[in-house]
Amino acid sequence: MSSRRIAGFVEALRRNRRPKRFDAKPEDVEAMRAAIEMTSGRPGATLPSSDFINDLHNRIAEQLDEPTSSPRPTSLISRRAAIGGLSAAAAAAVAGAVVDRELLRPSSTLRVASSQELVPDEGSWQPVVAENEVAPGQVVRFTTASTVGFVVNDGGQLSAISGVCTHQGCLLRHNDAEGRLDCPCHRASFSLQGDVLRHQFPQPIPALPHLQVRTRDGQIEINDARTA
Amino acid sequence: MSEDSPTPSSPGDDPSGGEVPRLHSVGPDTYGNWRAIYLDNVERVYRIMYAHVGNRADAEDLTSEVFQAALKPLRVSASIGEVRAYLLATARTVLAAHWRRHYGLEVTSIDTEKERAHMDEPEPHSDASARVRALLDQLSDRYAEILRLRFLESCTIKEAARAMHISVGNAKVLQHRALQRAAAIHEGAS
Repeated sequence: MSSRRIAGFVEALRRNRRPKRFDAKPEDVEAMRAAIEMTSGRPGATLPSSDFINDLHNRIAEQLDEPTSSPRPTSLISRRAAIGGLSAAAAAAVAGAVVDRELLRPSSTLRVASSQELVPDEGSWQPVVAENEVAPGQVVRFTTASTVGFVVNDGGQLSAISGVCTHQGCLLRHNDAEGRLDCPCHRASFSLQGDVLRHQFPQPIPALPHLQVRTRDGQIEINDARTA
Repeated sequence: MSEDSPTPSSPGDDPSGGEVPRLHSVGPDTYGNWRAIYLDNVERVYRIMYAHVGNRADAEDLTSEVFQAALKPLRVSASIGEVRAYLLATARTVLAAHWRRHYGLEVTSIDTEKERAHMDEPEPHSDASARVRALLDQLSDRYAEILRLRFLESCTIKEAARAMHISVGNAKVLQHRALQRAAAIHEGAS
């Protein structure tokens, strides 16, 4: 039945997973195409992870018979290059990029980045929510054209963190009862400060990047470089 | 060239079959080595693939396939434009083979002329978010809401049903019809 096939396909895309293969019928194609279009419209969905860029680089080097144990040409590659010229803040926020990881380091030596303040080198401040809508103790989710995140008011101290899981880019949900952010895809959880609370993966995952935040004219703003 | 072949004739080959110059100057419109080709284009190719398959695993596999097929025959003396055209041609055949292999027919295909223009922008960007917002604006409120909840808010079907105060069964039907409607609008626009 077409609707059942499409439902399974949609559910896989929602979880950013590979759909099960099936023999598609002509009547399936338009809905599949629309689902793909919708999925790629999620902020940051189309950014590759730095792990993938590194791993593929190493595989190609092996294929071209270049030794991968030699020092990587890190000086050739800036973080900007690897994230396609986006500001570090925006790219990390939307794609969960690990911003202090040296690019092209062999994956076996990768280490987990500590959460850190990301300073955009371009972009503009974007209002995301009215100041009076984030009372002390509250957490509010926001989206801009390129960024999904959460504004946290911790006893009057405002902070903003990415709302994208650093594992595979799924959108996090605020678990109000537990005071944390949960990933619906693989059950990772983060504190409201962005620290990893739990995960089920063999390798550790990075903390959530922080975003620059400020208040102005009664609005809470974050720096959203991609909309500049 | 076979349509399924991921290795179209390499840029830098002399199309006339004559002698190919052995020395090339590396000008501002060429790459110095394969790493430069890779780093300048990997995100561009990945974005195109993701926009045509909608999930990370397939986008990564297909991007890998493109570079692994394309880099070996590529000559670094080829111009940036030639390299990108070659990568795009490879991407098109790799994607077509992916759909036929796993689903039996081509669900999406790469419009090389359109993507070629995007590839030459100094900083690759995706206008997918704007396209989706425009698409949602053309749908009825309920269709737009179910698609927004499912795709942009990443809600499960149960959560979407709860948010819309409808049964799970109705949410599934609504989602299916909304996708069909969105597809019809998208088809009309393209």
